[in-house]
Amino acid sequence: MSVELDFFIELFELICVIIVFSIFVIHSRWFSDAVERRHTWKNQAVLILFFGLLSIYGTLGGLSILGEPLNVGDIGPMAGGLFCGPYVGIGAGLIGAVLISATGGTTSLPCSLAAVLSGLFASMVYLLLKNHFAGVKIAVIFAIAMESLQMLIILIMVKPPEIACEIVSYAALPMIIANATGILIFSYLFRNLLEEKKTRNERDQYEAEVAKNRAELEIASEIQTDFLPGGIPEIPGFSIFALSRPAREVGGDFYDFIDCGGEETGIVIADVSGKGVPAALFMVLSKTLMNASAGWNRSVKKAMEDANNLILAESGTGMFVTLFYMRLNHSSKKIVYANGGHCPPLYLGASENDFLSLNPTGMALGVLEDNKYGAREISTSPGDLIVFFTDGITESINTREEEFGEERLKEIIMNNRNKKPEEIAGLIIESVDLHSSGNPQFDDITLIILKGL
Amino acid sequence: MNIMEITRKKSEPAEIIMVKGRIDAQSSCILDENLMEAIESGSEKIIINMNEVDYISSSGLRVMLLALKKVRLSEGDIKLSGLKPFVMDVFVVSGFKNIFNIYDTDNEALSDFIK
Repeated sequence: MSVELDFFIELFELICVIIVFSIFVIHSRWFSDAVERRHTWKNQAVLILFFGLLSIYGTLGGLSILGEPLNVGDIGPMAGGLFCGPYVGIGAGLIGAVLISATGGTTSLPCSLAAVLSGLFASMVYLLLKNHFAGVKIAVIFAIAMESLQMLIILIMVKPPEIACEIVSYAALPMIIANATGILIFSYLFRNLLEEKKTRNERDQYEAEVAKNRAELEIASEIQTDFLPGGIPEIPGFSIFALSRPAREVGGDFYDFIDCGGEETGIVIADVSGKGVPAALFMVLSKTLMNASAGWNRSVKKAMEDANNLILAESGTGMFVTLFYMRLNHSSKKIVYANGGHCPPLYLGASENDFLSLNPTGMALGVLEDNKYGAREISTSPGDLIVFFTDGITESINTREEEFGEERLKEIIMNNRNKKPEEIAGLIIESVDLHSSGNPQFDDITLIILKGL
Repeated sequence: MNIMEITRKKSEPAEIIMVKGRIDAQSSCILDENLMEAIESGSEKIIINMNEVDYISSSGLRVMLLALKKVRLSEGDIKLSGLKPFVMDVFVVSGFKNIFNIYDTDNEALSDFIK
């Protein structure tokens, strides 16, 4: 038994060298091309040489028993055939066979025959499996079968039979175990390579997809930003500031300034139901329709009613928009407004200490056909403030899920009522950001501040 | 952020959908799935119990509106019950109070279906 153990250990050392060699082969470009069945003369030749060398090393590094070489020379043709196809398997088998027969000895003929057969049968397995590769189990069973076949050939071909029996009884177990272990490790490395490659491909594909989506969203975001008024209009007798910041790349909030001709400017602030791309698409539609309707209707009430019907006609998915629309007369300083379900803008008269809420005068747009809207009129004075906003401001939450709320908003406005609109807006946004710090921005935020001069 | 929970039960002639938690942009799709499933399985009379709903966003209103439009096509209805003050405010401001029938309790909603 100790003789067998010695053989096994020495053969095992051989295998270790072969493994290192295999790692280089497996990670070569020629091998990965062959694995993907891109067979070219060049990679086939290189691989035949590789696996042939593997066979030569397994043979030369082998031991001898009773003057006969015992070796792991079959690993080359078996691995080459199983994973790279017939040319490589048979080619490597032939190289091994030539070398084994050159070493001479009673088993050289049966052993060279076995090397060629290993390559041949491995190639047949490769072809039979078509687009799959032999798994670890198949490869190991195959190696055991091949080595057993080799022993059988020795028994048949080597004369006299007593010698054949003796060789086989010493060599069978270590040869089978050593070759099977070699193939086990090779196929295991190979399987890892395939899985690695698959994971890498999936990751690359995923990353490419993510990068593409991000790029598209960035473009969408730019388009949407362009879609908001480019600048803030000059309105004689008023100072105005507006900003909109979506929670994601694109959002459903919008504002608009409409030149109504003569001495009037229209101001719109709105919030489309939902978030992200669906809301953004609906926002573009709503803004366009409202802009058109406000342009051709002098009446605020009528502009809302037309826009409602136009938007409703496009709202198969239940999308709707809360929208506040106001017309501001530059000379009379009067405003006329209608509120379609939007959170009420806050009005703070210059001489007042209480806010007036510009409450809804009708339903959100896009919900009910032929819905009627009321319109209200207010006369403004210098120093009056109107703060229009979307619920992204009042409903922004902190880590304890407390909302920013209308009271906090009112407090900031009240304490800073003498400042310019952009300064008040800056303070509000700063305060909202501070409140929700630690949470990602949850909803789109839009803010317009109008001040009588 | 607490996740929304939904339980459904039959209470002839209606189906009651109990919602618990926040109905926001993330969770509204769960409500949408449940409503669509109920409607497709033949329920046209639906009561949404909102006793334990703390918050509803416009995404939540959208899925309710979509479901309401569907059931009203076949003479059905979606009635709401047990709205907390904040949730009620959202329905008042947006105008949705006028298109949904809103009740204090499931039983009141149910007896209106039976009428």
